[in-house]
Amino acid sequence: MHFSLRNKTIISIAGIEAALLIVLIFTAINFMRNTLHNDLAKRASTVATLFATTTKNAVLTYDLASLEIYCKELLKNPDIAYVRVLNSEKQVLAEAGDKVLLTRDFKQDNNVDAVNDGIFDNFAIISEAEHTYGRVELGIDIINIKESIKKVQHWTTAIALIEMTLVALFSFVLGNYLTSQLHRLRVAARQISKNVESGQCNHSQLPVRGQDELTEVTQAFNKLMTTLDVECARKEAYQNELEILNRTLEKKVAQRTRLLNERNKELEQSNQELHMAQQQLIQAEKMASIGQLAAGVAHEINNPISFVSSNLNSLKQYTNVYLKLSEQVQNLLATNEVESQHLLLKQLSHWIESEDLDFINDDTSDLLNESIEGLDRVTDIVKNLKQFSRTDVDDKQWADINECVETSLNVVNNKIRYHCNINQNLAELPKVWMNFGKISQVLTNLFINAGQSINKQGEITITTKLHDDNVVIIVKDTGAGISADNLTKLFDPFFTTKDVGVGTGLGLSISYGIIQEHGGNITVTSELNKGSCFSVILPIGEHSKQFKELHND
Amino acid sequence: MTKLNVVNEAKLTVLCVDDEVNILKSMKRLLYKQNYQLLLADSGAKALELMKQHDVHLILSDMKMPIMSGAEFLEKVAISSPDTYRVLLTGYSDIESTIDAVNKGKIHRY
Repeated sequence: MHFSLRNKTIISIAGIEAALLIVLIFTAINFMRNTLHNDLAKRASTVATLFATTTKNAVLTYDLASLEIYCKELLKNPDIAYVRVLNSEKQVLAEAGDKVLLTRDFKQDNNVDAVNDGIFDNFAIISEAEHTYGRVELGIDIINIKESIKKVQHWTTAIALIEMTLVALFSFVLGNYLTSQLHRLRVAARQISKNVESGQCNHSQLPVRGQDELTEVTQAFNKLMTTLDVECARKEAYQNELEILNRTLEKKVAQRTRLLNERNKELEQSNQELHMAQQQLIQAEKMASIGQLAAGVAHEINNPISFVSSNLNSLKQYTNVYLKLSEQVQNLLATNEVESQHLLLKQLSHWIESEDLDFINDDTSDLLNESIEGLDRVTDIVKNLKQFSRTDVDDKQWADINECVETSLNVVNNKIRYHCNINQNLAELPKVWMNFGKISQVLTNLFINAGQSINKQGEITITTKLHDDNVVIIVKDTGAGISADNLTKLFDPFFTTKDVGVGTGLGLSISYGIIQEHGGNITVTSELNKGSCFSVILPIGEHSKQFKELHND
Repeated sequence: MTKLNVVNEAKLTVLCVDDEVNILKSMKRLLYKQNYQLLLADSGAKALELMKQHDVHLILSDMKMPIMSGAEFLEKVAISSPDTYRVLLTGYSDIESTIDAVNKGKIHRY
């Protein structure tokens, strides 16, 4: 069961008060009663003695009338219930008062407490010179005293009750005052804990009244609340700051994201531009290669053309000889005379000898065959050049790597043929999905490099083979080789060890790009003064695998 | 393949050098009616070999040949037989080979 502080105070104060009052009342009433009783007993004794003295003469004289008068006189005192005068033989000389009381036997009451009939009975001896003549008996009504005592009891009880009420009231008020202060503190404390939970910090100060300990507590509490408010406000400020920071951070992030997106777009654009530039570079490099090759190709074409044209001139002469021969034969056939026939025949045989007809007969078919071969060569070269220049077309096609090797070799033939021995180990390969022009550009580049690395005489070995799902092209030379330093920079754009005007420094870089574009790889191993070995690995692709399987079946 | 054809017994001997046999043949066709002794060689080495056996008056040489270029060949000829009339025949006409030919081969015609 919950007892508030106030109730406890009230109950305890009331309890103490009640106990004290009970003790006080009890002792007071007891004391008063004892006093009254003693007084009464004394008075009774005094009255009896006085009356005995008063009636002594009348008893001695046996004056009954006087005795009667005395008794009646005495009974005028309101609290005397009865009186009786007896002689020494215990005969009643005179009596007055309540008849009921007079008829009963006399029995002395030693003290008031022993009284049980409401009358305090007492007596006094009538004596003279130590001789007893009679006695006086009387009874004093103690009802009045008892009533007085009761009244006093009532009064004191009432006063005690009033006092208790007052004390209760006072303690209630005091308790109320104390607990109201405490209550305010409690409410405030609860409010604080609630506010702290919900994060509010706006505490009203408690009113400070008086100068007691509670006030001090309240002041301390107020101080605590102020501190709490300040802390709370600081916390809120920090929180706000954090939120603001957060918001600015979000804003910043958004801004950065936007910037990043912009950068991204720019980068994409740059990438596109780079891609275009790369395309242009590839084309430019191609053009440079073609430029380098042009003179050689011219020689390559000039050679057959020159001998074909020379052959045609010879053929013209041969034709003239044959025309003359046919004319002479016709002349011979038209002549009927034997003599002139003979003469013409002689002339003819002489002419035949002078014209070296045997040589012409022998040579004509050779001449025609060689010329046809020469023209075929020109056709081939032109065809290869056309294929080689097809890089601008982005389309891929199914193509034979070996064919590509041949084409590229034909294009660069005059660049390497004169000082290089070319070995070809070409395996049978499935077709590869590739850009023929671009791959031949790569191979051409590798062949030219190999040729250029060989100073005097050397060998170039070209190997093609199938390795797993890849076609591998290995171009090995016995040239100058590449130093380890340069090896790492080999595929960098514009890196070249060649003289100005000989190499652009783009060939291998572009080759690398082309091979990457085909999903392949290009690697190199090299040893100074021993030669280099370039390996191009090209995946044949899914379709090509099926193609291969079909072929194997 | 070396062709050693003596077309005509005459004072002048002509040596043609070219790695391309077809060209040698067409040269032979051009010169067969002339009154020259015609020697044909498809490499500088073979031409030098022939020059040891024959007294050559005129050399017609190609420039671009494997192993030994026309300029190199003519350079050697210029040392061994400087009186020989040397002509460089070529479709390949860059300035470097021309300078080589003039300086090393001491050619008369180009």
